[in-house]
Amino acid sequence: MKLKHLLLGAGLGLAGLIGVSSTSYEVDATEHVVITRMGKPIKVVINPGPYAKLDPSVKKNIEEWNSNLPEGEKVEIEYEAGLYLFDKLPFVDTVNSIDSRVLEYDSSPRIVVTKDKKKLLVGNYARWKVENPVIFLQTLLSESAALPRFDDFVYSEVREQVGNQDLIEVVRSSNQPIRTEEEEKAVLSLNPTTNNSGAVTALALGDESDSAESNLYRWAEIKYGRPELLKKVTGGSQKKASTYGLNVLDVRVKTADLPPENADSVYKRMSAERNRIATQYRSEGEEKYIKIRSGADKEKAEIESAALENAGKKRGDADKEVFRLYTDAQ
Amino acid sequence: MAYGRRYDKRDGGCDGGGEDYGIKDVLNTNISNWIVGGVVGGITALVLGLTTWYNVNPSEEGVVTRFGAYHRTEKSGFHGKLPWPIEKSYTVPVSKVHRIELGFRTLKDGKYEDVPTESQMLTGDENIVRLDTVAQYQIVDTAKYLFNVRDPEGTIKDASEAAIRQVVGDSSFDATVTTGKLAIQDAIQSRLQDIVDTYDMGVKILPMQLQDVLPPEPVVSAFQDVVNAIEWKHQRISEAEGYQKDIIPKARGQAQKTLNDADAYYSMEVGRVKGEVAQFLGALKEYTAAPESTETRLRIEMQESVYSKAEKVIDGTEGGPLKFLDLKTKVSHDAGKQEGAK
Repeated sequence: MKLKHLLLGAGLGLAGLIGVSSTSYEVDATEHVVITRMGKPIKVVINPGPYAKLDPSVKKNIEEWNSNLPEGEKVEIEYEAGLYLFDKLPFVDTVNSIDSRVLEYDSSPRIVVTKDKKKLLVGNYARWKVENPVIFLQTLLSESAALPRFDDFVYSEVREQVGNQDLIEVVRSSNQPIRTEEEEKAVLSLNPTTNNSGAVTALALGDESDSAESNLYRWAEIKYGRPELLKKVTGGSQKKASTYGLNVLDVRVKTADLPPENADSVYKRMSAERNRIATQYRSEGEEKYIKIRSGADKEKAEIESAALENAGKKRGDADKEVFRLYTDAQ
Repeated sequence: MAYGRRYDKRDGGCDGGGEDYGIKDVLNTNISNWIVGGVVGGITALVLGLTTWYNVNPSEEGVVTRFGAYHRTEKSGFHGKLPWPIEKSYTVPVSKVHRIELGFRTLKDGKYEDVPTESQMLTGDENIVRLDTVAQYQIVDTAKYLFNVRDPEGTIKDASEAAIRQVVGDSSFDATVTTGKLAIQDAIQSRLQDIVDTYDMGVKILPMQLQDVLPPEPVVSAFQDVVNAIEWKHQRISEAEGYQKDIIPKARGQAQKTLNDADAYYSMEVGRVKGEVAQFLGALKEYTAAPESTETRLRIEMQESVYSKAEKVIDGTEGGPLKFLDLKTKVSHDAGKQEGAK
């Protein structure tokens, strides 16, 4: 008898558990949730982040999007993570969890040709997150479907922006690069009126070198620079990504290297520069050697000639004295 | 639901033991209610006992979620919480300085391995440099670190690479390998902080450490040659200075010797002549006593002794031009002739 009661109680408990779990759901701190009824979105829960400080623009965007939906397709929007008790129909409503965190995208380096016809091996990364989970769910379904799209629109943006600029615009960021004092001096001396940008510099290796007249690198003045280019790439990617409900936080250049065959010519140039510097040191050494040696020879001659002069005077004095003594004696 | 894979420690949230408390063993109806009740109660007690507390070590911070949503952050110590499945806890090391190696990896045996794709980059003057760097960071906002970014470490690594390349791309090669290191480190640090701030991931970037800054492999020998050339220059200079140090003191010594010889000559000549004069004057007395007989003898003796020692004679007689007679060679020549004649 008692066992019957127990079984009954257990059965009821189980039914209750199933009842609660099939009508309730949790929105984790790392996800957004979209509730779909027979595949059609009816509700979205936007995770506002751990301190419930949702970016107002995100809220504005999604509400604007919702208000533009035709009647009957509008969704209910909530902005809180946690437990949603008795908030869905059992079995017909599906809970779709979508990662709300900042997600990664990493492209393998690809050759991009710059405006000045130089090849650059550019590897990018992007950080993005799902801003409108409903659009994301409808267009891409999952993150694995999103990444190939990134390959398309990030690469096409990079190719466009980088292809429209000279190589130096991709490499440099400002017109005040970090340079050595010698380089700064050389830039200033060659271009005293326009502060320190866009002039010529000497490539001297620190205080070791005596002369800084050997100009090799011409510091071109840049118009945009890498941060500006990346802003454009991010903006362009964002435009394309927003059609999938995504927000591209940034696109950055992880690698921007010369392809091996071009790197070789850089190595050759660098070697040539160093050879020149080495030659300069060697001839400076020879210069000093000759100067010091001949200076020493000259000094020696001066010392000896002065001694001979004084010695001659002394001997003359001696002879004069001798004659005087003889003369006096007569 | 596998977030914060790296650092979170679950306190029993995954513990399957709790799943069973609604199910009964219905096969054996003879089992006593006591046993069933005991099993149910025991499991319940176990779940409550294991999941109503958690411990945070002194170097950590604890984060508690309630029904998945962030609820609170707690400092180190022993804390109570609502049982699973209501609340879950995570602990995150906040004092720890996390370290990311860029451009190289420390292997297990303590050796280093170069990672060329990370270490080689273009400088602002279109040269190539090899850079090994260590990025360091601390977690300052545990909840943001856990919940805002899926792969925090990978994100910081990517961002570091981007920051390093950007800063080096805006520096000259020489500045990178010599005097610009500090400025470059600072610039990378602030750049990197800016980047991670856009991800709102609760991380503070600590000062960067530039380890090795080297020219690329193919030009290393050319760089070494510059070092050799500098050495050679110094060596050449010290050789010349050695020569200088050698001959100048010798010349000074020689000069002093020349002067001393002249002084010696002066003393010798004057002394000798004074003696001769004294002798002459002594003889003069004798001469005045008997002038005719001694005059001739004395004159010849005197001339002989004086002119045989003097090398040159200046004839100061008034009237004519100054005459110079090299007596030594002439006399010795004549003397030689005479000796030969004998």
